[in-house]
Amino acid sequence: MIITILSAITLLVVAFCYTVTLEGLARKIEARIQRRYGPPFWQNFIDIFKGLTKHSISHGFIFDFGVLMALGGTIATVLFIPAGSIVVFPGLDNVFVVIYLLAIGLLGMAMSAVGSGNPNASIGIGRALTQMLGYELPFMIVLLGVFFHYRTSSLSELVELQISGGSYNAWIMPIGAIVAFISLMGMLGKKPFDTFIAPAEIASGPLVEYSGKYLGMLLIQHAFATFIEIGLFVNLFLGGGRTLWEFLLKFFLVYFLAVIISSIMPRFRVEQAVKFYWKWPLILSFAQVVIVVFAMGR
Amino acid sequence: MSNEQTAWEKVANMLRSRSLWMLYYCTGCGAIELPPTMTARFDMERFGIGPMATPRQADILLVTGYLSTKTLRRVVYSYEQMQAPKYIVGFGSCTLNGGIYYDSYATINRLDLYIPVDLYLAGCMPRPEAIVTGFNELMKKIDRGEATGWKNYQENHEWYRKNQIDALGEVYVHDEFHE
Amino acid sequence: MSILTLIVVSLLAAPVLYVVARLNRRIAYVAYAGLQLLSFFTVFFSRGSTLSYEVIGITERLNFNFGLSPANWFFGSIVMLVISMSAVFMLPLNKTPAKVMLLALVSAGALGAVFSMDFLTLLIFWEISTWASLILIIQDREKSVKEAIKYVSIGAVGSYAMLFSVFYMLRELDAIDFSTVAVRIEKAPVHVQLVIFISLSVMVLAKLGTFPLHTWLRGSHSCAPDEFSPILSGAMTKIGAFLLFIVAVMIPSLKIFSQLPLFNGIPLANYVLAALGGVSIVVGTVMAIRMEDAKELIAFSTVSNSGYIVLALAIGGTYATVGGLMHVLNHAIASAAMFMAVAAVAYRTGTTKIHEMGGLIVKMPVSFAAYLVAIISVAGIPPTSGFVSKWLIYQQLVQDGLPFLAFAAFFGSIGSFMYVFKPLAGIFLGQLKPEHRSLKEAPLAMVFPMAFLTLLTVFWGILPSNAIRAINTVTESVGADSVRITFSRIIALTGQWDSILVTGVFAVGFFLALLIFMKAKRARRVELMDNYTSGEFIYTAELYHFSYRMYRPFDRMFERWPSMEMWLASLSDKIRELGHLIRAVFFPKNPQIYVAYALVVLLGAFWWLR
Repeated sequence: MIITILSAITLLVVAFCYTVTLEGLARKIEARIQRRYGPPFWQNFIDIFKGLTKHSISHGFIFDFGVLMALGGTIATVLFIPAGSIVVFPGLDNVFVVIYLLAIGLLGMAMSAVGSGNPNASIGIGRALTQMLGYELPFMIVLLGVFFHYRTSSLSELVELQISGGSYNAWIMPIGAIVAFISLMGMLGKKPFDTFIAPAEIASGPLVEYSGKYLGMLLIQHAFATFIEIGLFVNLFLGGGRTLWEFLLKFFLVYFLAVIISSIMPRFRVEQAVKFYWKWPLILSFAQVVIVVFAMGR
Repeated sequence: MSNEQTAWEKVANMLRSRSLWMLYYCTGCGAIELPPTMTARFDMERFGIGPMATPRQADILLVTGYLSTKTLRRVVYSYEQMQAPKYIVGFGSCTLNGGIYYDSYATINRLDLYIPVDLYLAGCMPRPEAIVTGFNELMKKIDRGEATGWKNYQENHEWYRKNQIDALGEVYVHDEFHE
Repeated sequence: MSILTLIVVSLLAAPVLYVVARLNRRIAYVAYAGLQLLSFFTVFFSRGSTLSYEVIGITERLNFNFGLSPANWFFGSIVMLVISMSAVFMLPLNKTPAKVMLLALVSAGALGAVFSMDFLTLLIFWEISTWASLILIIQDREKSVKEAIKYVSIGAVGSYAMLFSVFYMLRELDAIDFSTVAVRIEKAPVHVQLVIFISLSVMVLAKLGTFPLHTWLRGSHSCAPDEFSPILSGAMTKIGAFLLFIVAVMIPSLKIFSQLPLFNGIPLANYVLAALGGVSIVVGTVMAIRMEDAKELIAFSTVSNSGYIVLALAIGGTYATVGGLMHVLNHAIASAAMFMAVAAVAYRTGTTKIHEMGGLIVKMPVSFAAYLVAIISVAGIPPTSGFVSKWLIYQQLVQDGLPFLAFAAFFGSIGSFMYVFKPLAGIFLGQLKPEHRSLKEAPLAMVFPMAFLTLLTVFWGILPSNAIRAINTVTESVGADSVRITFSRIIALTGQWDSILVTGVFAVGFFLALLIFMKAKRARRVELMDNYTSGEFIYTAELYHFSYRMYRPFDRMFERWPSMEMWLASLSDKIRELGHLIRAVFFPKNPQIYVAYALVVLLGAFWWLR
């Protein structure tokens, strides 16, 4: 019991510090790609804490409650991701539970954004939900193949099986790993799939009426959500890690790849994004699952 | 203009000065100097300054250029939608003393009478180097705790309001176009 | 009171209530609500006794058989829960004597159907219920007549198929009660098995509202009186699920059809049925996203969830069967709660179109809470009960390795986020219209059923083992396996999860977020019209409420897709033209053509008889 609480606290602190540092580092990497200097890598910490110290306005009960639900659901989901040697709930971290707990966060933010009364927020949420239908489908089908192959849908068990089996899923199911990475970029909301934030078009979409502590809390939620999504990919396809440092290294590599791909791309419209996801990624994911189910042995 | 700050305020001001989010209200021709400042050559992001889309999320309101009465109403409205602590930077000579439109009947001459300005950048228009120097000046001012324009606005609200009504007639327009 | 007495009393109550309603409507409705609550409690607490009765014989061999096996009890409790909650809900609404009599007939028919032990009883009582509901649909609005005709014609397809199968069973297997048929059908030749399975499946598809017989749901749910929609969607379609349970699980269809070609380990007949369920999930979801009326949207949500039930019970296996039965329970409660919330809103505002409302959360918070929990359950998010059934179905799909059906299941689950969010955003959130500023919350008789159903959803989400234990007795009674559970954990072959742990961790996360929220400065409350408007001054709330065609980019993607409704409409047009052609040819208006026909016929007769 004490071990669980301690590992939970450690996981939360590590997730927060590491992800926010990496986000700042990502800004620096993007800046260097654009041949400028960029902010210091601790910039995102300053942003979050400055947000928490400002005054703020509120538009009613659901505005507050939605933000709490978003941050609460995301914090809850972080505790289910194994991070190398820190596994808070071994055996009980089912991937479906993780994905649907993440949906609580999205639902909370959606309710709160629309509850602010601004149509830009509703437009942004409509786009976010449409895009979710796009990227989740290939991802879940590839996951079906992974679960069928290993006969389990628990994250910590999948990590152990990959480490003890000797080869990561990315080598066993390369097509699936690529499709999952493309879905990951949609999940993270990185270009070319960031149409629901779209600062110049719809005035930051859902974030339009958030100020002060709400904005700070949503930035924390975004950092945790990034940790969850990339952590999910690393655990499912790159074998997690035997130690915490191995996990963090693989995390950094995946994040780096996502950042440099997104820094040179423009933005898709939402129906272009959905059509893109339902064409080649979906076909490839079906191909991968058919190979796994019919051709590969159990 | 308090020189005594508690430790908590010092930390908070340090945080605020190193992460300024800007809402540039491009009222006039001065806005053309902003894209060079933000892009690769005179990179503004290395100071932590970045663009933000709405007044609710922004710290700095950058008033770039001359202000007609029609625009001033919207600027006052946007300023009041921002959340404290907030800073205003008057950009270009038109906000300082009217600039080249000093004798026009439709523009105002001194922004300081209507909303509290923390920093003026003179020039027509100021070059990106001047902008960067100006923002560094603003950051030092915030560190010292002297950028308290928002407190002034709250304390002397009637004075500002009187000036606004004198110049504009009414701030929140209420005619048949807006119903 | 025994079940038999209950059914007889319910049947007799219909004309009695009509007479009472002629004198005093309020008393009649209160009596009806009391009778339904009494029925529910009787049904729910008579679990465990397994008696069967024989009543009046229709002919020498055919009798009405009622019984109380675990399956009957399970479906009976679900149906009576929804009907009794709706009966309490409808007390403040518009009352007429005709409606209360028809409602009594509907509930009597439903009771008789779910407690039947043979196919003929099931069919007869089901038809009583269907015909009463048909007339009930056209009670309130004029344009409902066309929708009712669609309902009865598609229902007729199913009813005649089932009637055919009952007499076919009588001839081939010489029995029509469930247990005997289940035993004898195993030894019957393949074509007999297939004919019975297919004809009963047609009835299932028609009554559940599954593709390809789903087009009646949209019209009848939206045009039915507001208080009847929860019953139609939550109770009557679940009788179809009862028949599906008998056809697919009680009659061990996986074992019987194992001689047929296997598709991924599942016999072809079952796979086709499951595929139809999968298509229904996709069609229901896509159409629901495009609807602008809240009741039509929830009607298509019923299409989608019926697809889930068909898919789960057809592919068989431990987890899918238990998950499918749990989904029957979840969807009945959630769908009834959603319709009730929309009906409460319509009672106060007078409309069900989403874009005519907005911002009602400040005026009707309890309806909002009921609707929110219901949509969280439909979307399948923990900690509500909807997640449990979906998780079990996913586990079965993973275990069997069925990618195409899994695609349909995931599509339905993720697409449901989109369409359930639309009425939430359009009706309850956003800007409040000035004419709705004086609205009050729905009356207490409406609030109580919604709150009760919400509590049930959350209870079975936090402690699903309670419901699964009951479902395990149902599946064990027909010889299928049961799911392993502990007090808070559900354990499947390919994974497990702990519901109290998930709820607890969510509570901890929420508490941490609350801590950060409280430590920061207190927020200043502003009203909704004080909003980011790019600096413009706006005073009209309607201009700033975005809800019409919220998913326009998604609609554009599916505009040119084939639509079952249009195909059926064009088919009926062609039949009408055929009728016109026959009338023009054989019943012309000019006498000359009659003379010409007579001449031709006489000449032909002479030539033939020469």
